[in-house]
Parts: sequence; C-alpha cells; structure tokens
Amino acid sequence: MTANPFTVRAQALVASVALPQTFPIGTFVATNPMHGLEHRRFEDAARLAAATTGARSYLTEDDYESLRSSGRITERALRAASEREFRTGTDAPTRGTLTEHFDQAHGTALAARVDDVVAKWCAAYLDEGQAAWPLPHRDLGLFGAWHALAPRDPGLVSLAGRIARRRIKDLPENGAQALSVLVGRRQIQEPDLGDYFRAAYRRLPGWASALARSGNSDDLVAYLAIRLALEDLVLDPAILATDQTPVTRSADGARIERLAVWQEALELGYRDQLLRAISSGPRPATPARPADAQAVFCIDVRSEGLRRHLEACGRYDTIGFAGFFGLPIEVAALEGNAVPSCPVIVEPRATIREVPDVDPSTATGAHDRHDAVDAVWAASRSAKTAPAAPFAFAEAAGWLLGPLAALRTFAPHAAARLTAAARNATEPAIPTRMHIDHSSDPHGGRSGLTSREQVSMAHAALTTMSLTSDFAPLVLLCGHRSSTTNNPFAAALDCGACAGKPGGPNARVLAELLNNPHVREGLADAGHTIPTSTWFVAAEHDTTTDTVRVLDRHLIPPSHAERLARLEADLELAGRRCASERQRTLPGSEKQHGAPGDIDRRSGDWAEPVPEWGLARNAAVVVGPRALTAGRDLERRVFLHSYEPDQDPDGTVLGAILTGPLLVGHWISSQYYFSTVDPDRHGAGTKPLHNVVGGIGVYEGVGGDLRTGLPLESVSFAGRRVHEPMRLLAVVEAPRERLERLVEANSAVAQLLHNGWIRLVAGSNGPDGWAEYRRDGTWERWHDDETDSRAATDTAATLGPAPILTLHHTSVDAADITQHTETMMEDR
Amino acid sequence: MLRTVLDLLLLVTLSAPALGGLATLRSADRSGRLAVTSTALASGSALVLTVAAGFDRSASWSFDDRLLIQVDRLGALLLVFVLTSTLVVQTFATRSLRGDAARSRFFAASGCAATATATLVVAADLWTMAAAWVLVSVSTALLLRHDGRPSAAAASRRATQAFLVGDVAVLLAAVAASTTVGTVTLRPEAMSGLAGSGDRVFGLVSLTGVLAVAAALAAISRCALPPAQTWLPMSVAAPTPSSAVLHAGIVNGGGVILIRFAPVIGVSWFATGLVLVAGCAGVLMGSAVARTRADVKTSLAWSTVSQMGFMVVQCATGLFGPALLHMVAHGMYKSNLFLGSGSVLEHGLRRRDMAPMRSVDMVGHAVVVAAVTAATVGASWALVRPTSFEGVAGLVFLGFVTVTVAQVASTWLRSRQERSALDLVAFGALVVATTGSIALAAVLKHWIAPSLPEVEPVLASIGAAALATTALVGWCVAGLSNRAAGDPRRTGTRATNRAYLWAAHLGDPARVAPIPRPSEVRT
Repeated sequence: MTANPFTVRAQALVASVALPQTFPIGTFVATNPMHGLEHRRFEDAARLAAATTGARSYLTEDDYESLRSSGRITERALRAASEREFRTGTDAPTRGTLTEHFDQAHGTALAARVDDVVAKWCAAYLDEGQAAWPLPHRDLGLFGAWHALAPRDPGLVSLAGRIARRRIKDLPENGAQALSVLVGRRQIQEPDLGDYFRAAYRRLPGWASALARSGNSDDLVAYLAIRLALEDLVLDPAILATDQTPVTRSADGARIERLAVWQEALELGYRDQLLRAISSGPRPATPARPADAQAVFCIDVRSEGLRRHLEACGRYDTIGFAGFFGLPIEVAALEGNAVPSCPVIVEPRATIREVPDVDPSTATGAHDRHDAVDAVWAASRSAKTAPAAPFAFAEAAGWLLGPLAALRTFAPHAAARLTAAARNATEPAIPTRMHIDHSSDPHGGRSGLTSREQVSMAHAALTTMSLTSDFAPLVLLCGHRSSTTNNPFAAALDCGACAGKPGGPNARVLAELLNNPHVREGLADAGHTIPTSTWFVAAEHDTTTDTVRVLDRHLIPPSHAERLARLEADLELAGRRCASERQRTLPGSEKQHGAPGDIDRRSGDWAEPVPEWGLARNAAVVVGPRALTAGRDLERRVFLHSYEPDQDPDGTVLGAILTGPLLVGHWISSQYYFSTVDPDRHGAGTKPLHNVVGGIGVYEGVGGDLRTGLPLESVSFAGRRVHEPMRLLAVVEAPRERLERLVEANSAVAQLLHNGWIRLVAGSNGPDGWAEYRRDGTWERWHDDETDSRAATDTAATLGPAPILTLHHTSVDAADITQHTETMMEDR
Repeated sequence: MLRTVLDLLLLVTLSAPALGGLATLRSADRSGRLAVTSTALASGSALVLTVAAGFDRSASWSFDDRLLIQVDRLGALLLVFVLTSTLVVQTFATRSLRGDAARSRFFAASGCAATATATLVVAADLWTMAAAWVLVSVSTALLLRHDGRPSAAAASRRATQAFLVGDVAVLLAAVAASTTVGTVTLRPEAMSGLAGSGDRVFGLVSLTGVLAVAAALAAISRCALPPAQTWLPMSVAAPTPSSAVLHAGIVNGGGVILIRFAPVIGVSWFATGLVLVAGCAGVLMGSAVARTRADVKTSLAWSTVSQMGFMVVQCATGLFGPALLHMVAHGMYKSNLFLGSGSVLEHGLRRRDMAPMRSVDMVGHAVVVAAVTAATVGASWALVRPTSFEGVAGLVFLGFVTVTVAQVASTWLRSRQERSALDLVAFGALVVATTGSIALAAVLKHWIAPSLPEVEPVLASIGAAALATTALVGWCVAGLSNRAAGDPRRTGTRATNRAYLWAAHLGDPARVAPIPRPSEVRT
C-alpha cells in the first residue's frame, strides 16, 4: 500500500503550521512560538502544549505565590481574575512517532538516536558557509543529498547494520515518493498523517522550523522522509502504526486553569497600574505652543525613556510610529545586498539603494578599500581552514591575537575605541544618500520608486503617524539600532519592525521623500502642505548607549544648522539621563552607578553578557495621543503608537495600526513571554554555552537541536526573572464602536482577542472612561479602586523587595528605587 | 638575598592561582575578583622570574639535594604564558559568567589548573612532574564538569577516561624510575645521561623505554590525539571561558612532557613512532573534521586536535624550539578565537563567494601566487636566516610556512574585484608579517636554547616526511572535494564524498555521547 505523494506533501506542509516561526539569528525577529495554536484559547493551547511536548506556558504556582507575597499580585486582582472563566479542552494528540511508541513500551532510546542522525544531516544541509567543507550534493536538496550519501555513511552501519545501505538505495530518489512509500509500509493511515507529522516535527522543532523557512515543502518532506526512513531501519518491520496504542501525557487541565487565574491576576494588576497612570494624576501642562522640533521615534519600548527625557529638555513634541516608517522596502546598503527592511508580515514592494554622494574617484577609492578589507577577511579565513595552512598561520596570528585578547579583556572600552579608529582609518565612511528615484541601475534589477509611489508612501506614513499639519521647522525621523560586541543575538536588539535590522536606512528614505520638492507638491495636492521652512532629518537611536546620531548630515541646509545643534545637544542630555536611569537596572553595575563610561563599556565589551536589556519587561502598547502618556514614567515597558482618534473617523488608520504594530507587539511580547516561562523549550539557553551553528542559529553546548527563542540572559539574570511575562495589553484611545467594527472586520485580531492572546482596553479619559474588551465581545468598564491599591503597596513595603527586578512602586521616590535595586543586586 | 626573594616569588607564582581560586568557593564574594587578583600576582611574579632566568639566575627548590623545581628559560616562558592567559580568561569570566550560578567552580578549577600547569612546566623532578600532571587531569575534569549538567558531566567523564591512561603511565614510570635509579632530574644533561645509561627496570625492560612510552602516552591523551581525541570536542559543553583555558594552556602539557623527556624519547623507536603516528593521525583527522563542522566551537576544538598533532610531530622530530613557540602562539590564537566565538557572524562570513576561475586565468594566477610566495619566503629567509630550518624537519616546516603564504596570497588575489595599489600594500604587509613572525621565533628560540635538549631523534627525517605526506593527502582531498562540489560526474567525487562522510561521522558528537534533550536536562 502506498499513500499518494501529493497528499503526503500537502499534509507535511499543513502540519508544519504547528512549528514556531523562526528566523536566522542574523535577522532575529521576535515571533510567537505558539503561533500555530492561536486558534485555541490561550489556556487550552497551554494544556495542549503541556500534553504534547511538556512545555510550560505559565510560571509555576510557586512563582505566582511569591509574586503574591511580594504584593505584585494583589488580592483585588486575584479576586477579579477568579471571577473570569478559563476552560481547557480535553482533546489530546494520541500519536507519537513509531520510535516514541517503541521507546515507551520497551524503555529504549531509539527516538533520540534517530534525532541525532536527523540533526546531523539538518546541520550539514542548512549550513550557510560556516563549515569550510560543505555537504556534497546540496543542490539535490536535503533528501537527494541524503539519499545519495547516507548509504556510505559509516554511522549508518552502527545504527542499523549493513542491510541499511541496500534499504536506503531501494527508496525512491524523490522525497515525497519515498515518504509515501514509507508511510504505506508502516501503515500510517491518511487521517493520521497530520498527527504523525506533527509528532515528527516536535522531536526537533528547531531544525524543522529552520527547514520550514525556505517556504518550499521539499525540505520539510525530506525531514519527514529521512526521519521515517531511519525509524523504518531501526524498527522491526512488523511494527505498524495501526498497532500502536495511543499515548497521552498527563496534562492536568484543572492545574492549567488555576495557573490561568494567577496569570490573569498578574496582568490585571498591571492593567490597573497603567490605566491609573494614564487616567489620573496631574496632567502635564500642554500649552498651545509651537514646538521647536518634532521627533518621530519607533514604537519600541526603549524609545519611551528617550522621548520622556527629550520632552523634559525643551519644547519638543514626540511621535511614536513603527520603526520602518511605513515603508515596505528592501534596502541595499552601499556595499551590501538588498535585504528586506520592513516587518516580516509586510511584503517589500521596492528596493532602495544607498549610493555614494561624492565625486566618482573618492567613491571608487572607498569601494576599493572596502573590497581590500573583505579580501583580508577572506584570506585569513582561508588560512584558518585550508589544509596545511593553519599551522604556520596560528604561529603568526597568535602573537597578534594574544595581546588583542588581553586588551579587549582588561580595557574593553579602549579596545573598542581602537577598533573603531582602525575601521575609520581603513574604511573611512563616505557621504552617501538613499536613491529614491526610479531607475534601472547597472547593478541589475530595478530600484527606487516611481513619483506616484513616492507620494503615496509619504502620504501613508504621515497619515499613519497622525502628522498631517502643524509641522515644526525641524522634524527628526529617528530609527534605532543596538551596538553590541561578540553577541550572536545582536539582531534581537535591533529594530523588530525592520526585520531585525537597524532602522536608520528607513528613516533616511522617508527623510529623502519628505524633503523632496516633487513629493511635497504631491502631498500638497492631497491636502497635506509641508511648509518650505520644515526640514526632515534622519537619525538613529543607539539603544545600547542611548546616543542619537544624525544621518545624512551633509544634506541638511545651513538654515537649519543652529536649530539642529540645539536639538542634538538636548538629545545628548536626554540620552545621558535615559542611560543613567537604565544603567541602574543592568547587572554588574553596582559599583559604577552614575558612571557614564559603564554604558559605553558594555557596548564594546566582548565579555559582557547583558549589554542592554532589549525589550525585556515590555508589557503594553498604548495607541493614542502622546498627551495620554506624556510626563509619566512608564519604565520603558510600553510601546507607544501615536494616534489621533478625531482625525480618523472611518478607522482606516486605526485598522492599519491594529493589523501592523499591534501584531508585531504581540509577537515581541509572546517571544519574551515564552522564553521566560519555559527557557528550556522556548528559549535559546545560556550565553556562555552558546555555539553558533551554520550561520543561522545556536546550539547550547555540543550539538542537538537548533535552539529557538531568546537567550536566558535576555529575560533573566543569575536565576532571577527580569522580564515579567505578560500577554500584550493594548490600550487604545478610540470610540469602542470603532474598535468593535475593526475587530469584526479583521479575523486575525479577533482571534487573538477572543482566545485571550492579547488584552484590549479602549475608551478615553473622558466621561466614557476605559473598558476592557472581553473574550465574548462585550465590554467591561474599568473602575479604579485607589484605596485597595494603596493597601497593596503597603503590604509590598513590609514584605521587602519583590523577587523580580521591577520598579513598579510608583509611590516610592527615586532614591528608594535605587536603594531597592541595589539591595537586589547585592543579593546575587 | 636575591635567591631568597626569587624562591619566595616562585612560591607565589605556583600557589597563588589555586589558593585564590579555591578561596572563591568559600568566600561571600563570588565575583571571582579574588581569583583574578591572585592570578595577577602569580603572573607578575612569573615575569620577574623570567627576567631572572634571562640573567641565568634560576629560582629553584630542592629537598635533600634533590632538585624538585627549577625555573629554566623554557619553564619561565611557559610560566608567563600559562599564568597570563589564565589571567585574561579569568578576567573575561568575571563578566561573562556573572549570571552563572556555578561560576565560583570555574574560578576554583581554572586556578587549580593554572597552578598545576605552572608546576608542570618548571618541574625538574619526575615525581614533581607526575604530581603536577595528575593535578592537571583532576582540575581539568572539574573545569569541564562545571555545573554538572549531563552533557558537561559526560565530557568530564570522557576526559577523565582519556587522562587516566596518561596519568597511570606517568605514575608507573615514576615508580619504575624510583626503584631503578632513584631520582630522575628532568633537565637536558641528566636526561641525556639517563638515555645513555641502559638501566633496566627489575632487570627486564629498559628504563628509558618505559619513560619514553609513558611520556608518549601521556602526551597523546593530553593533546587529544587519536585514539584519545573525543574528549576535546565534547568539552565545548563547558562555558566559553573553560574552553579558552583548556585550549590556551592545558592541552600544551603534552608538548612540555615531550620536550622534557626528549632525550629518552629520542632513542626509543617505539615511543617516537607512537608519537609520530598519533601526531600525523591528529593532523589529518583534526583538520578534516574541523572543516566539516558547521558549529564554531567544535570546529575550533577539532582544529586544536590537528594543531597539537603538528606540535607533537615537531617535538618528535627534534624541532623543540618551533614546537614551544607553536604551543604559545597557538594557545593565544585559539583562546582568542574561543572567547570571541560569538563574533563569528560579524565578519567571518563577510564574503565567501568567489567566482570559479577559467583555466587561462588559473595559469596567470598560479604564476602571481608563486612569485609572491617565493618573494615572501625568500625575503624572510634572507633577512632572518632562521636556524630552525635545519635538516629535513626544518625544510618540512619551511614548507608549511610556504603553503600558508601561498594560501593567503591566492585567496587575496581571487577575492579582489579589481587590481589596485592596495594589492602591493597587502603583499608588503604579508612580507612584513611573515618575516616578523619568523624573526620573533628565531629570537625567542635563541633565548630558550640553553634549556632545550640537544637531541637528534631517531626517525626524525621519516617523521618529517610522514607529516608532509599527511598534509599533502589532506590538501589533495580538499582540492578534489572543492572541484567536485556540485558535480557528481567529476573524477574523485566518490572518494571525496566518502572522505567527507568519514570526517562528518568522526566529528559527530552523537557518535560518542548521546546529547541529552531538554527534558532530561531539567531537574
């Protein structure tokens, strides 16, 4: 009996939806590892995950108990949470792989043996150039290469005896056909295929998800075919899928429901805290005054700190906007290939090239130097790996690398400056600009935008950020990047909205667009008149050091120089304040509080495990006017997206925000959430053990499965949680009817809301007040109960520091917070 | 007066790292500052001892006229190297292991390993060396065990098994020597005397033979040479700083014992043969497997296997000076690469696609590469007149330098998009770097020469030829496999594919130890 290869292929693809969506480590993008279960209620997905892989989706009951005793979970929130209903289902997958069934019955470890072999082939096949000697026959695809080579693999004989060679050769060369033969041989029935394939993917979710990236089902089919072929080799032919008695792991639904209440209580507590901050307390004075400058920042939680401090420095209006500035583009840096620079859910529609903005001979010289530096790396790499060459090379290079290692270790700051100086000397940066005009360039392929596209992109950007009038003379468009050293997860600290890359290029493109006279004419026709006195300036916020660098300085007219100088001075001041606020939360800084050098040291230190906290502790997104949050310390926990409800009566802009930034926020929040609650299964392991593999990911230690998610040091430190795992809370200032309409129209958002993957609060500080959108689609009015919360704060004070690194006691003053953090740091 | 000061400094040098490390275990301050301070103290003292050794004032300890420890120039150089590299790595670890609950164990184990290795390099007596040798084994096992997670514990067990062979061999040799000749002083004159004496253990086997074989076995196990190679790649289950300590200092113990025992090994065909076979096998296996590994750390570990193979062949063919410099330079090279292993994506893969060449270009390319290589090697030869290039072994060594220069020049030329003046600058730099490193090696070798044994080992020429052949085989396989890539019809494809499969199989970590799944890791 042979199954239909087409059915088998289709099932392989369908089953892969359950895999976490992952990205190569160089362009790390946060995603929800449980994405495949979003069609279920959160608690039910949690139960199912526990039943299939044993993964945790909540903190432990002990964790929640200690959050309660520290006052982080209040009795009031707990009462409110327990009034809500959480139901888990009962369906459970009954099918493991053949070897899993066999192992369970006989106490063997065959499944793990098969895993090892499959992992070895996946690592060799997916390698993007780390191994000097690549897997032969990669052009035949994973299955083709395996089919051609495996019969001669010395490891095969020890796994399954000499007969195995013949049995592999007898399989069809085509992966789907081989898989269908194997499926037939073991009598896996067609209705069970999906379950079986999911069980097979679960054995090595890291490698399987990396194979799924290609978007081509061949690699997934190959994974399944190799896996089933190996199972077929190690198991007695008489063992058939139809004979297997279903296995179910115990997943205690009642326990999960209890955990769901705890988690809800934690989140309700934060909801109350945030809404209280938004709706009460002194309003910042917002006199009708023209701003000296407007500054647009990414919605990233790390922008919140800088914006707060910048606003305190002078008459500045800040705006929150997705860090790709609404531009669905690929960017080709001067010496690089075109890479997407927009959220992964957005399809790039154009390529923008960075071109030299100097005379041709300087440009050629710069290119030559760049090429020479590349050649140096290539030559040293070949000397390291070519046969016979590394011996003498090590003897020569050692004398250079030894002292360098000492310098980088003893004087990391000086070493970083030295490296930068060396880079400047060898590859001095030349002025460039982003070429927005449409052209067929000699590099091959079209790039740039037609004048119509230019206007429409500029228009969309301005409308979505609600900046359509009252332009200040200077508008700063500020993307962000991180700057870390010796950190394979560097991209996880870059801009998520730019597909894990720095946001500067997008800021430069938008500035080019908005400063372009033709585009401005087009915008004026559409009703948005930008005064001639207004200039858009691109900049980049380095979140590791909290410094802001102005880009394309050579394009800025002298008329704006003075204004820009003032803005830059204020940005520097704001950055310093933000950095010193942030530094207090970073581990290992106890002795350097207030030392500005410590932040810079972290950025350039190759030994530093926590250069910055990234988006750890992110908790909510606020969509609304800045007035809602201005003047309040939101502790860099909140994504801020500007939105003027009055300017968007038909909800077009809000719809775009809900389906774009909100989803990206949900992915980020989920990635941090799951990496925190189960670092073993959803996290990438600890940094000192990280071992970069294939140029696409890390092992923790020697080998095994490719790890997914965030490193342990991104969410916790020295055994203490730093990230507070909470599902994303969205607070939207908008009429509730508008939201109802948008949710109804957008099934993806509706699914997340109705299944409890995100929490939505809408309304305003007006008489309507705020209300939470419940899973059944109704609204629950929010009331602040101040007295209760006061009592909770008092309890916290008597019970000492909270077990997590949070600065949530809004009533204590700054000195207390410092003291509190120091106490915790010294406890380590 | 000076003697007392030097002897006191020696005490600090040898004891401080272990004391500081162990104190970290007990002290409330687990940051490792105590360990770093102690190692810095030891490192500073070692510098003073080195200067003294340069003026032929060796610090030494004796007991009953029995010379136990003596800081000769060779020992002094290695003391500074071992202690300084430990200092760098421990300082690195104060930050990188800040969040690791088991970090104090790292400081304790690395401190003990530093003390043990330091004692080993200056040991002048067989029993002192044997004790130091065993202590290195024990502290390495503890270093690898780290927090005791299953993969780390497995690596530690595997290392212990490999070391046990060497440890037992060294201890048995010490017992045999004690019962036969009383004391054995590990200094060139005494060892040469022993080699010529013809003493027999219990009148049965030759004492030199026993000592030589013991040293060979010990070196093979410590240098992770086949058949004892697996513990080293498994050791990447330990944190990055542990790997750096291991590859910078500990594995070099094998070279030290080979140099100290060189006079007795040099007269033993069997021991020399053992070292040569293991060394060549290490070169071949290590470089082949390293080339197939897609992960940075095990690739580095396998590359160490090949480098150690190269180094022991140097020892076995009488090139003690170059071997010693190889240990030091490779130690710095490899520990830097381990500490910086998180940067592999930053520039390591910066550009790797080089267009295949047409055969017309190939001839021109070969001519230019040959000219540049000849000019570079010729210039260094003329300027330095390196004494280390004497004999067949020296010529083979020069061959390796030539191959490296050719490789660098060829890759440079092929990866350049257009010719420019920068090519000349680069070749100038190549000449300077090659000449400079050869000159540095010559100077250091000249300085150490008094403490190196003068031995003309048996099999020296054959050993050098074997190494050259090994390298040539590796070269051919790599060349063929590059040509065969993507074209199954090419001649040699089947052979290179099988070579690939063997290398991938030998390097498969699952071959030697099942990797625990997360569910098993969790307690």
